[in-house]
Amino acid sequence: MNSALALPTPVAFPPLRREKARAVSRPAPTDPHAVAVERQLVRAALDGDGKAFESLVKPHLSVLYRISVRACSDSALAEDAVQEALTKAFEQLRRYQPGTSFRAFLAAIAVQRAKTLLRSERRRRAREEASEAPPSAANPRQLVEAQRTAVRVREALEAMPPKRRSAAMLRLDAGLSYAEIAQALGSTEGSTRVLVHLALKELKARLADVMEADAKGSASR
Amino acid sequence: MSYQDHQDHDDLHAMFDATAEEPSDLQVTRMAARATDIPGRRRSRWRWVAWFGLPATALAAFVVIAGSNGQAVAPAASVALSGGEPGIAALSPSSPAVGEDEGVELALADDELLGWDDEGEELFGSDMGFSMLQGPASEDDLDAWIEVADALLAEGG
Repeated sequence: MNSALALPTPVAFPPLRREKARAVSRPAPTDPHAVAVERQLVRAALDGDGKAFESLVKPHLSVLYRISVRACSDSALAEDAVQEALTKAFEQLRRYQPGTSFRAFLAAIAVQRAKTLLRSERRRRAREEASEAPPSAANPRQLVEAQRTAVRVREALEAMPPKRRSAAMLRLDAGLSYAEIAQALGSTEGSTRVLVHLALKELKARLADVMEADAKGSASR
Repeated sequence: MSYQDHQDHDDLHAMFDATAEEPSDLQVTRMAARATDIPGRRRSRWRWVAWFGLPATALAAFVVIAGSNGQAVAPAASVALSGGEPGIAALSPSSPAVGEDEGVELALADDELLGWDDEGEELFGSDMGFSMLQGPASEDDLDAWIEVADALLAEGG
């Protein structure tokens, strides 16, 4: 590329357009029919109907898994954590208000569970660090670096105050809107915007070196 | 929020997306299947709680106390079951110190203070009392009862 016309260096992770960032979920639809169906499913689940409960939670299992595996890096543990979060969600199902965001309801429980997972993961990593093997042909350097980035992300989350950590995970992993995060945290939307902003700012500070290294890596390719 | 802040947020989004792990279809199917079992399992547990409830809590407490402290303390439990006042200062954990040995002698000396009243004898003499005593034959059963009691207390707290 002609250096005289050099464009700004792109970061390693392609920036997403804010309008379409990801599938950031919107507040639950206020369609009366959808609300009625949801209410019926909740009632049936509380009456012991397993299929009804499955219908309620299945669309959100990916989000719950994503949150859990962020905290523990082990897929089997993450599945168990999802199961525990769903059990907890069922115990609190009476408190859920049909027509609000069921995803936010579930995600709030999952990030709470993630707190314990993060602590356990930190202890496990401390034990394993001494025996970490150098990258081999079967484990390319790029893959190891990606794993290291994931570890750094996890460590950064674990070091954050609980509410900020929850806000960050709900925004970045669960893809919740500010309104949904406010519902999950039991706060106002205005306070939630500030909290999310502070959380992301702190994350950026903690991960600045990783982001910079990735930006340099991308520029050299 | 400044442009730089928006940029930082986008960068973080991208990092999280790049380091996230999505479940496979098999995993989603498995998690969904496990979710189906939850309502039935939870309801069975609460049926258990409703069936045994407070009598189990009281009896479990009695068995533990009687087993660990011997007969002198059992009458205190019977007083508790019958709703009477725990009148013995020496047997109450929060009572002012009388002189420990002296208090114990006092307690053992007086049947009335010990709470061996008719109501207590009826409870343990009756079929209900006797059959309930025979209920938790093993440590596993007792642990289950205590677990139920904890759950009941947690529900009520």
